[in-house]
Amino acid sequence: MKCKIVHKNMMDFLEGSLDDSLKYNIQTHLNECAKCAGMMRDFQYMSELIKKEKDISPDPFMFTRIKSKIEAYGKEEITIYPKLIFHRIAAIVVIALGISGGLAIGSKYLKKDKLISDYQTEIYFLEDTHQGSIESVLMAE
Amino acid sequence: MTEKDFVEGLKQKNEKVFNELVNQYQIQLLRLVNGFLHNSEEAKEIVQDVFVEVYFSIENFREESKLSTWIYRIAVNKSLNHVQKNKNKRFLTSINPFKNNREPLNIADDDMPGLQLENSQRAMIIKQAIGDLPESQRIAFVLNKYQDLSYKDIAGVMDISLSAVESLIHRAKLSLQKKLITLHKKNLL
Repeated sequence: MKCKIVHKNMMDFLEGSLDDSLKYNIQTHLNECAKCAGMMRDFQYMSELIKKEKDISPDPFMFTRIKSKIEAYGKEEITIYPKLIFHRIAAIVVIALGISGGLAIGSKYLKKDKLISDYQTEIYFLEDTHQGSIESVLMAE
Repeated sequence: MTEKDFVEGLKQKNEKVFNELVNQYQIQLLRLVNGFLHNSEEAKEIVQDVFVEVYFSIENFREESKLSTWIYRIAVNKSLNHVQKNKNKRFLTSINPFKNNREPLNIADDDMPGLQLENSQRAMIIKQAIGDLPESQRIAFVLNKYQDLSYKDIAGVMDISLSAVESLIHRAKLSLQKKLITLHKKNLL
């Protein structure tokens, strides 16, 4: 038997799910091939490991712990609610303050803008000195 | 107590029934969750959360499947979520040899500390190989090997066909065999 066939069937061999003839051939091969026997030991180790992990003892305080978690969730539901209301009120206050602050600052700039526009108007008036545009001078020439 | 009694009792928030349910399913759930987490303390925490969810969500149980199937499904989801949440944390601890939260496993080598260390490293490598399986293969493998569920029950928990379960477990075994043989050839096992 080739090593490859043994490799493909290692887990099934350990589970005992192979038919008798294949099982016998693999066992014979393992007795002769040290490499495959070494690999099989790894697979045996894996199944022992799974067995060991399955051998878990029950927690005697499991129910008490679950009960206290359930009670804690119940309390959380009650305490979360006022927290949410507080968060919403705080958000509204912050937005309102932001808007009123923005309006206050904006109104200051509005006054400044008015001054600038006055100044710009004055410049515009300066144009009215009948000096004319450069184009009109050039055209006259 | 029949399954119907459990469902009725849970819907009425009957503490005695709930206690009975915890006693009946605790070990099975611990095995299942431990198959994903490989840490018995964390597994206990997750199993507690599973029961809390069962308590609060029993109204959503439509009785289309067995109660146990529904509970296992919650346990699988919670385990996978936990693994996902801790993925980065676990990766950092796994590459740090001085800090490892995975439990060392001694298999009948209590008198030989050297061999014990070697075995705990082997155990870690094998757990890693199981953990690295694609998600659906891992779920099917853990339900079969840690929970000893039949292919039919696995199909119920995963909501897939029987042939799909057979295929997943077959591929999981092949993948593990390939991985372990490669590790053995590289003298890493």
